[in-house]
Amino acid sequence: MISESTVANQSNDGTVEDHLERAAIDRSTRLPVVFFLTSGVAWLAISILLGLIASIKQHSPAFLDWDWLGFLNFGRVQPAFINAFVYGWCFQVGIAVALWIMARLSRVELKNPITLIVAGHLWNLGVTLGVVGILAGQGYSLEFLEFPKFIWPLLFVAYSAITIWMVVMFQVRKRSDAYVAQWYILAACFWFPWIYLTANMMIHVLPIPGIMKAAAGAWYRSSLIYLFFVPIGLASSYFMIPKIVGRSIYSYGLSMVAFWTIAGVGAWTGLQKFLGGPLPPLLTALSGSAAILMLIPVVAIGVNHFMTVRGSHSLIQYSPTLRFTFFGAIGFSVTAVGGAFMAMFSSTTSFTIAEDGFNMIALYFFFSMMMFGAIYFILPRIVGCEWLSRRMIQLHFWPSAYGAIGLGLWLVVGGIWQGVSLETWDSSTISAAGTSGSFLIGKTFIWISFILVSNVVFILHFLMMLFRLGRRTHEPTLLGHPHTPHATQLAEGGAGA
Amino acid sequence: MNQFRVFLLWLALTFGLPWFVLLIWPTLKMSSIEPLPVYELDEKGKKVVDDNGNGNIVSYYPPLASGSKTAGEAIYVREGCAQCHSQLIRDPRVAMDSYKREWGPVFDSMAPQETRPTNPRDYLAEHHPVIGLRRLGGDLSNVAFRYGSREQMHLLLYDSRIAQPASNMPPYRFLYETRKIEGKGPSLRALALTGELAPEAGYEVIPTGDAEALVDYLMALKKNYTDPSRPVVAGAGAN
Repeated sequence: MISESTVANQSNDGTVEDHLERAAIDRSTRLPVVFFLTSGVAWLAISILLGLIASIKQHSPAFLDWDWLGFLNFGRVQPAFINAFVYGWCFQVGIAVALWIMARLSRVELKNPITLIVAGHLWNLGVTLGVVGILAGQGYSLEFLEFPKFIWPLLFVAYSAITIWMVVMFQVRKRSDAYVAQWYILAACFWFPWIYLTANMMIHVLPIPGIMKAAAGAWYRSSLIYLFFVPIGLASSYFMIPKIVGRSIYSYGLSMVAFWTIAGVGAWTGLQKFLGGPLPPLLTALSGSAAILMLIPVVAIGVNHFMTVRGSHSLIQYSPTLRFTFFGAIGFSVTAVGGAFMAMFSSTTSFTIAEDGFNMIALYFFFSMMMFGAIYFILPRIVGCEWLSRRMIQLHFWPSAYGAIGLGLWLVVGGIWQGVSLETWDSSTISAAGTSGSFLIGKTFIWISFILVSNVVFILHFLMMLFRLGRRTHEPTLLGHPHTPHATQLAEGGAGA
Repeated sequence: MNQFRVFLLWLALTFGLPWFVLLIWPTLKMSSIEPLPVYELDEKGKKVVDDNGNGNIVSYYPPLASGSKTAGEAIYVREGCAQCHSQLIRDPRVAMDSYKREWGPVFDSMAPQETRPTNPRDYLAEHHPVIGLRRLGGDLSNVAFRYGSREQMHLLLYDSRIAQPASNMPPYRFLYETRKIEGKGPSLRALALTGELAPEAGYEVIPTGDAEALVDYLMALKKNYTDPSRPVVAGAGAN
């Protein structure tokens, strides 16, 4: 199924039939992809507002503190934010991008996508009820699993209905081989239901000891990042980078190494949070070492991506997709290096704001940036007009980039300070809280001045595209004027538009 | 098709192994953990037995929660207390939790104390995972020792800045009710609020049932009882 030639032939030849075929596939995916993208972007807007409230509340509980607004206390608004962000934005944009890439690489049209739309509505219903449920006081006490008890069957059914489409498209593909991006999408589709079902059965259904419920929660958070968001994000980069530079992926062997290391190591991580805690020490040690082994795919993928782009690095300057994707690829390295670093010092970094920093690195620096890149590529092809303004894309990129680096690193550094303060036996808890407090004020600053600003620009730009207010032209919106016609052609999306 | 199955099989194997080792196997092992009975002892430390040789159970380790403590735990979970508070004392060989002055039973001593680390059995008393996400607030494994009375705990929940001006803890005023004083005088349960927080003349602030349940739960968080499954080493630990 997976052969050398599959990697070698990522770029398509530009015959008229190919163009027509691609246009037909894009048309067939329009309804579900636009549906998932739009609802994802709506949740992005909601979660950024909730995140802002949570961030301010974390250092100034007196903010918005009227008696009837008690449900906005940090303990409720923080889980509402992170769950809206994960299940509302990250999941739905990931599903949209994965569907489109799968259809394109399998070269099949998405026929009769009505089940997908129904499943999408079900998913959104679940997320809405979940977020409202948390704010209304039905939340739970494990990270990423705070939705009320009755939500998970809903999300599980909706997700399964979506997954079936990916597998069906893959099974009826035109070529017998599979692309790297397809491995990652299939693997994510296969792993997530297993991860989600296990965690929820252990937490809500089976009568097991509370400590194992906590273990399942920590394992879920880590597995979700390494075995769902990482594969979907990497699928996007394995599709977009060769597409834009018009060259096949540098090394098949390296892709193989990276894929199977992630597959083999991902599910071992997570329990290092409880190092020294009541779990068997062997398990926490295994998890910690697995997180360190994540450095192997970083090297493999880093080299592979870098060598693929080699000689065409100037395209990062012009192509919005390549710029976001390349930045997201750096985000992947930071995610894995950060995860390994925190595993090495987990007795200090566990239970600190460094873990929030890791969430933001994985979900924003890596995953969201990859997805933004994919959206800049996909949306013009399915709505039929080009992005309106180069300046708006730049206004989205730079604050997002600063915000991503800032939030992640700032919180990790703050978490180390907080951890060291907590590890000082004669210092009081309140002084540790004071140590982290100044970093939390910084987080609010970064949230407002970078994350909020950049995403307001993006959401406006996205809405304009949705209402077909983009430019009616065949020339894509680039971030500058390439000097040679060849570079222009490449930045426009390689030989295959 | 065949190759696709091989691919899926490998995915299942690479995922299934850690899934089993990290979750299923320890769950099976830990499901056998049950609360240990604590028997009545005579002056010499020997178990008191009846004619049939059965001991007299006086309590369980850990003390089992019921009634309003369970209701209080549900409120603890729903309000997201676990977002900022942990209930975990880690092994002293790994972390300093045991020596944190505020986190043990003897919190006001200047000398270092060694609090007993929590073990899996401790969590049998709880119905939900309350081990916590972050430590922006203090560890609550032994919080009941830190506050002398229910009244103090209520004031802390109502507005933590009464006792600790630098505190970041959100106020839980919505768990309290301001009502008109009826009858002869303020209720015995009314909070002793002063200054800006004091209610208008003729009114009083009293805890709702939720607040009482939450305080019941918090005031039961004491992990100084001896773990009967482990030998007590003289001089080690405050228990």
